[in-house]
Amino acid sequence: MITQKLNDQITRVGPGTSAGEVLRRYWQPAALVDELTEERALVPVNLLGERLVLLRQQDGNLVLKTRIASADEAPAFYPEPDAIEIVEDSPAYPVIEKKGMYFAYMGPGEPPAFANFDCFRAPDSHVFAFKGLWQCNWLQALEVGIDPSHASFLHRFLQDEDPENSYGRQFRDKAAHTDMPMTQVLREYPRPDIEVEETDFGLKITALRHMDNDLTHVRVTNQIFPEAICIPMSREMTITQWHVPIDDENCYWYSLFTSFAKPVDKQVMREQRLTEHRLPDYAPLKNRANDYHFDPEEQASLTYTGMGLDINVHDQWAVESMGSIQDRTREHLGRGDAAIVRYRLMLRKAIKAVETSREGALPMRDEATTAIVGPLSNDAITATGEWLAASQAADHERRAECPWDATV
Amino acid sequence: MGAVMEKSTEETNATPPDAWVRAALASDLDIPRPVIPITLFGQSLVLFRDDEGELGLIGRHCPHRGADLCFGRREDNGLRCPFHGWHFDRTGQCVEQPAEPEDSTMYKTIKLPSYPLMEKDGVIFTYMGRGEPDDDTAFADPSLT
Repeated sequence: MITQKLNDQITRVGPGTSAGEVLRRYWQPAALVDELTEERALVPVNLLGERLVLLRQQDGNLVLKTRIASADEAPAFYPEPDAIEIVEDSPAYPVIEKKGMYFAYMGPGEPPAFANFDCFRAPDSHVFAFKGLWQCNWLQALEVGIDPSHASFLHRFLQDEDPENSYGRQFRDKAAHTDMPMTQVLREYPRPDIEVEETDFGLKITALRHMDNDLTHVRVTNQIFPEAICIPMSREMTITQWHVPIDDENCYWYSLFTSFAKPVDKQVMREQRLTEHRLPDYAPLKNRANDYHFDPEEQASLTYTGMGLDINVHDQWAVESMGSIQDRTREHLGRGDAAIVRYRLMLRKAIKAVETSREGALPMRDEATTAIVGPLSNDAITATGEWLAASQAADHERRAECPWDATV
Repeated sequence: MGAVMEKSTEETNATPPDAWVRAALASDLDIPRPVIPITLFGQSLVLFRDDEGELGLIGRHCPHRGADLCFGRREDNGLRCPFHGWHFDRTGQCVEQPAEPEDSTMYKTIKLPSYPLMEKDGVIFTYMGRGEPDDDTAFADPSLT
């Protein structure tokens, strides 16, 4: 449990707020490259409580400018270009394109360099970008991503699918070097030991599921400061996902799906996700207003939630059902929440650093940032005593087979 | 479908009377999965029938991180949060935290608010007033809820 004052401090994002000023020290995903077209040369961007528009200036540079918005506009409002009115004397936030996404810098001074993460280092053919709207505060959206134990419950499948039909889907692969579907590992071993380690980019989170016959399943996921995660999706792909505030009570997830060996089949990836979202605001078709298509019979027989096979919908339900800003004055964190506790300490430290003008103390804001590679993000099954070496070996093996430079 | 969307309830933050107040109709729970949200005196609650047929009226949000127990799994004679499997009996007591280490006893300290219930003439009443209800406890004017 934390105080209301602290909860406000770590969740609210408008200009001048504690967490908002930390987020403004980092590049923020602002739009997908798909959104800016010849027909739509002005793209509405609702970001960190500000009403903005993405446009290309006469000098060719992309920027975000402020647009005129009425107070009663919906948070993710997406006006047509001819209805957008730009505030000419507003600041022009710099924007750059990376891997199918536009990133904007809304903070003071020079923007930081990008780390050399796999999602940025892989060629365009190996990275696919998408986004989706969640109706809740960004922090609870991030916190579900740094909580390794929920996967054994929220994403539980009471029956396993054939992993051969798993392309582009989370948790449908076989667990590393076994014939066991990941869904079975998660279901049968629900009490992971969780190790959390601070790194130069954020947190390395290791979930150890001790199995029969002295074997251990090792799943490594990461928190990338301030608001992203990097997790394994399958043996082939990782997901780097940002939880980007629209305002205090709404956010977008932006994901870069990054493939090691084979190019990403972007058409399949896009079609899978477009059947689950509407354009132009990327709102999910299953949502609070329709009970996420909750089906009690399915909950009894097939999935833990009764909300279908798409794990993204399960996460969306979990975080939206907490309320627009989770009331952390009433929470009871357990040992399974170790990474959440650690992350909040990092965020508070960063808030303090900004407030006391010690910006050098913020992670990933100096020249050394470009030397950051990885992160290691994978599943491995190994003899219990050798899990650390085995996890690293499995990662190296995958990187060695990769046609692009994925060395770490 | 439609089991979870809340029926229109007048939200009021008035203090509950020291009387039985109307919570629902018994027929509201005549559904395959008898779990429904109820808002009474500003409190978000979940009303359900457990495997023994007994009624429970407990806090709606899981005390762990606030997930909505109206989507809980009705099993093992109680409600189980779909987020991490925390299991609650009809008194609101947490009886299991299956993602926590085997030796953890944290669950013993976790209890949701809960309110006594009675059924009379097809109506489910609850008592949210001071102390415990007794044989002399009156029935509140239905307009209160």
